[in-house]
Amino acid sequence: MFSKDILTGVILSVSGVWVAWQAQSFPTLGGMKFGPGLFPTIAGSGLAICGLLVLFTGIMSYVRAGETYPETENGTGFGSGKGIGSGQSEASLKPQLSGKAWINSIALILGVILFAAFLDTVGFHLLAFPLMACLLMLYGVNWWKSVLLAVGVTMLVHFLFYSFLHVPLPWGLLEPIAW
Amino acid sequence: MLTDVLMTVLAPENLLIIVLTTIYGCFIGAVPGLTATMAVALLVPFTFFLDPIPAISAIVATTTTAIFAGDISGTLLRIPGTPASAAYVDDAHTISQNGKPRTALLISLLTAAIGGVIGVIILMLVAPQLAHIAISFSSYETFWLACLGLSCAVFVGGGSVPKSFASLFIGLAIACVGIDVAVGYPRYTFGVDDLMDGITFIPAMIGIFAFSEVLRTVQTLKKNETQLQTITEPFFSALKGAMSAIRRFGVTVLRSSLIGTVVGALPGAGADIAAWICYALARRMSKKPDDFGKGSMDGIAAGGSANNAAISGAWTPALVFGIPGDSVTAIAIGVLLLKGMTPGPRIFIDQPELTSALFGSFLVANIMMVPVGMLAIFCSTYILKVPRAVMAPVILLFSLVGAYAISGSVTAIWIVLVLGLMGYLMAKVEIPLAPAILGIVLGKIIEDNFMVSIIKAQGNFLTFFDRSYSLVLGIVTVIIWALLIIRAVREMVAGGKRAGGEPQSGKTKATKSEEGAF
Repeated sequence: MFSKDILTGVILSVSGVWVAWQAQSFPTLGGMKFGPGLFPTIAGSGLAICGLLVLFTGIMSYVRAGETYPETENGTGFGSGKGIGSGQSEASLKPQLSGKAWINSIALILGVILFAAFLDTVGFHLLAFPLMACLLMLYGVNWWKSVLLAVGVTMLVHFLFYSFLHVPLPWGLLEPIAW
Repeated sequence: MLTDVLMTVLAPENLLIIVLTTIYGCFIGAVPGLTATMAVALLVPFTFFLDPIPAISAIVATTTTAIFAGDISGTLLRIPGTPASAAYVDDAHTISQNGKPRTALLISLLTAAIGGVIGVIILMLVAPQLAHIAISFSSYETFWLACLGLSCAVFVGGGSVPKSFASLFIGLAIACVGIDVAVGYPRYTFGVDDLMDGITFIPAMIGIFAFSEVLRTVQTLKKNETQLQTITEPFFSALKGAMSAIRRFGVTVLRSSLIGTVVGALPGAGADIAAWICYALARRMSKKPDDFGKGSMDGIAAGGSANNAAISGAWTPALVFGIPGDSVTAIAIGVLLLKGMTPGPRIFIDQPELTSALFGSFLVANIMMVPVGMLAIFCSTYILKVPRAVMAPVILLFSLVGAYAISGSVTAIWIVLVLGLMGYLMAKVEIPLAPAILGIVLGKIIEDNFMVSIIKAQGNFLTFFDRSYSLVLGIVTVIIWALLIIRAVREMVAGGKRAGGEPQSGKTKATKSEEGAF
């Protein structure tokens, strides 16, 4: 928990400072103190202050918990090493992600990135079908069901969005056979 | 006028849309992990192609049934289908294990309908009155009102004060993206043309509520899903039991519906918080408080009516002031804006037939829920058999294509991904989402009205307190800020003592439950 708060605090304050710092370069309204930079500055500095408070809370509870378990704590271990908490207090013992959960999540995110990156060039159908089939198989559906479902869902989306709602889903490489 | 309204509400297309979305809401709500907000976010691309009234009917029908259907998996599996069912899941499941799952489900279905109808009636009575006051509001009042909405979200949203405020500022920062109102300067667009108009709201919501939910789902996939309970009682004896229980706890239902509506109307507090509050209250008022958590029908009646009343209550501030009362109305405001309708008092004065038709649709949706819900209770075991391994990728594809459909560009999909990951991480580190959503919705309104006001006032901030309504709103806002600062200081002091890390009992529970749906 506390290592999480420290990391959260750092990320929040760094992004807050960045937002506010960017805003300083925005032009001001003629003759007034206020301009497009005002709200980003407020949001950014607010975020930075909250980040510092979260960081402070995190460090406080880290220090206190450190008094209870002096040797087992590893100050640099937050972030990547989420799982080292053998000696951590109860609050920090949250269920950690298993290897399978990591693979499942990364596959999902990677799938979306590929989908977004190639949608316009490769086209909807050629992306949606393999995306569906791979994810379904990875998540434990057997292969022939996955393939059938992937075809079905791709066609369902095609009819619902392309034929029925007239959303111009890109055909990409299949442009010559578009219908 | 009445006939016009009836014609609109009872038009075959409108009724068909309500039936279809009721079934859809039932299905999504019953699947554990898929929330009512997600159901609405995925529905938006379709409502985009409808007229305003059917579009809003669709959203209302989906939410009301999804919130009820959350009880189906709660009762049969002890996994709340939506966070709003979490308060009384133990009671419902215990009754189900005693061989009466249908009685428990019928109690929650009927009380849900009662709560929803009472909420709509209050909405019908209160909203037009408020609109008459709100019509005289200038940019000063609008500015304060939006500030009040944001502060309220921080105040009631759960979570520690610094984290709630952080969430709010994240939302405001996101709202800053795009061309600014005062001089038209592009902010934080990184040279991407699609970001000139700002972060498109609907893809943002799809990301925060659908993508992050799918991500959580795939992390908890198990080989063998929980065994379903199959023992059940005959339908009619269940109905009889449910009716007599509702008669016995009529007072609870009425009280919970009223309180639920009020809680729902507060920006930042949604159906889940309403259910928790009314459940706790029913327990305190009950003659048999020890039964709560062990199969109390009183508790189910309280929570079941409160969460659906809250759904209706959330529409009051949304329609009158354009300030969403929960995440679903936040999306609904986005939909109305896409259709060129700005929610606000003007709608009530200029187009009374539109608002009446809207209220009519609310009523129809709440009543339609009863037969569809009964059907769902019959088929509940089949609904719960759809494996989540199949649901997750399908929902993913629909959310990606849905986002693309709204804006017609791939940028929307990137927004889904980035904000989805952001929402996921925020929930992971216990930053509440509600203030951020309100910040995104209200950020532009606050900035626009602030700029207009400050230019009118030629830089003099005191004019913000000159008019009577703005004075009152301003003072209330400042009081809430003061209270928040006091709470933050208290938290800091208590936080030091609590450093050993013992769990923060009840409050944490409420915060947890709220992660998914506002």
